Amino acid sequence: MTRCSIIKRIYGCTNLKDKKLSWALIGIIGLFFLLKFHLTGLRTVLGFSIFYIVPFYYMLPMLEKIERIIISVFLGLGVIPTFAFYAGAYIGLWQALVVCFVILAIAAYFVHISYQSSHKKEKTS
Amino acid sequence: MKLAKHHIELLLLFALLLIGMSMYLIPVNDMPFGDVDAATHFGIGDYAGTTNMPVETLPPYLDRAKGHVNNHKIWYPPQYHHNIALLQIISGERIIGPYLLIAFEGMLIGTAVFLLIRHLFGMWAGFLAGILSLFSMRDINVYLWSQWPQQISYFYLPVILYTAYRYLTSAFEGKPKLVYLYLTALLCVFQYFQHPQGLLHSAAALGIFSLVMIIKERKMPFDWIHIAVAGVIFLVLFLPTLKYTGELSEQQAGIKLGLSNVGGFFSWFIPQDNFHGTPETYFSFKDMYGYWLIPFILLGVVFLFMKRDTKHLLMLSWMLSLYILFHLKLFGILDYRTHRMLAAESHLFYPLIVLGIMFLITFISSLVSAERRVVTGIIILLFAGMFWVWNAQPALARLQSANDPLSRVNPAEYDAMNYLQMNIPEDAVYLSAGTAVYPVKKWMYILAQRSAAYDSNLIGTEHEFANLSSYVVVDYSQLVMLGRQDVAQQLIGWEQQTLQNDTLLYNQENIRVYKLER
Repeated sequence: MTRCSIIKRIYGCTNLKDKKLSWALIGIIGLFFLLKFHLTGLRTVLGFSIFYIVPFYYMLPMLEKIERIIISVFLGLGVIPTFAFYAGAYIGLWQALVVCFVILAIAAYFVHISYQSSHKKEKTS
Repeated sequence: MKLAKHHIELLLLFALLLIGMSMYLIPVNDMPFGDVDAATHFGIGDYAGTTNMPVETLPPYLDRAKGHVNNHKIWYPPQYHHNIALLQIISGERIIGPYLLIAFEGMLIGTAVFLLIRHLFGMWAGFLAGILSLFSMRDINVYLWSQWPQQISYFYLPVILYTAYRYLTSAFEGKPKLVYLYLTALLCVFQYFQHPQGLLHSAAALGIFSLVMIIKERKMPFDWIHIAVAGVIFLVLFLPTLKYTGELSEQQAGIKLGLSNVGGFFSWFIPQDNFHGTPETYFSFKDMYGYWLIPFILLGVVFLFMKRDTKHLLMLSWMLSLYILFHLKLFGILDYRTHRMLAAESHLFYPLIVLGIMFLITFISSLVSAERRVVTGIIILLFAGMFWVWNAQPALARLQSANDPLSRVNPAEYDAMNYLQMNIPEDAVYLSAGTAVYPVKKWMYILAQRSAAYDSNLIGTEHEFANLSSYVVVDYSQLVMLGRQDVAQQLIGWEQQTLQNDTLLYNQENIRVYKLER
């Protein structure tokens, strides 16, 4: 599988109109934090979204969009500190955060792929 | 261009987030805020963040200040405080990063209520309930008083009710959606991780709703293997964290079984004999909502009883669970925690208010010949106007009140505490002198990450740690802000007399730090 097709698979979970709207809204939120809290604000909101929300969002392709966003936040607030607490005792907190993200990103990728392929099978059958 | 429904929903969620952030970020700046337990909650996360190591045993300055409670261990599951630590790491900044998380969590009730009510009663009802919830005075007070772990734990409840509802309704239809069952198990355990009390509310609401549905449908739709898998998921995550709360839960449950004050069953919430340090207004319906909202709540309840469909039964089960929890104290159970449970009330009341409005619209539309859309517009506009004046404006003013500079550590104090953190031994104790505002004294020792001898007096010489002090912090910065020249002169006299033979280590911005030479 080429790198391009991997990106397409992950990125292709939403349709184009959705993507435009989503990016516009993410951009406004980013700008809001940049203006109010400068680079610290932007870094925080981006970091929080990437570490706490995005992996779970991609892990729940079977849910509708609003559900995915909101439930991902509540899952992230539980999963990330749990992993960081237990793994952090051995490798340090920020290292645990990165390891956790990598594991979740890989898991999200495979969940997403298996969901898409099972979805395709259902459609063809 | 006509927007698709899911685009409108996305825009409504975005609007909720933006309104919520604009509100809950009002008190956030580069100095920490929060009364009561704020400094402690921040402090545990701060210690983990600055050392880059998880905190299981309390840092020495907190353990000493808390009287070695819970056998030196943290007294909640560690997740809430480690989120603060992780946001410190992600933001690369000590105060703003964690506070952006605290503010974000503070406004999550809007999105949680939106998720549930949108599914049950439509997106506009969900949006309205979400917006109203953001202005909940009781939640704003809890946010400013900093019972943050309990608050976010309660915010999980509408989401848990949503996932459980989706699972149960699909199971009764014979096509169980297992993803919702497993999400319910995960969310319940994560709710417990934030604060144990929230789980009690979820267990009560889910238990009652399941029972009601089984009675209504006269069948058990569950596959016990699935339920067992969900149970195992819950227990595997739950059991290892019991050690943090076990001892304290036993103490706080304070179970003395018996029946008292039967008349209390006829009130929604039993008037308190002991406010546990909480201001009386917190218990007042008038101050938290305003009497004008009572008819809408009652209409909402009438609407639910009239319809009694599955979704209405979910809301009624939620209401019944709150009633039972509020009355446990009559049986001698959880007396100490009952007042804290009241914080979960508005999460039900605002959706009930929206249902009341919907009911009113239907009722008036049936009476007059005008189009339903016109009636809806007029009622919503009238309601919005009154809500803005009587609820929203006071809520915003309350959030603004947290910006009083005297209620916070000032930049001079922050710099001095940074100096202590970097330059005095970790087990050192300092004597606090001159800091006038009590909560600020707490914040100062947390920021210094050192023990302090302080009490409500200007100089903490009567505090039990005073004899252990090997440093003194003489702080004139607040007295200058207060314009209290007379008190400052007294403090100068005390400083010259008491500390003349000691070593001056730090002297900047009206704050001096001495090392005691004895």
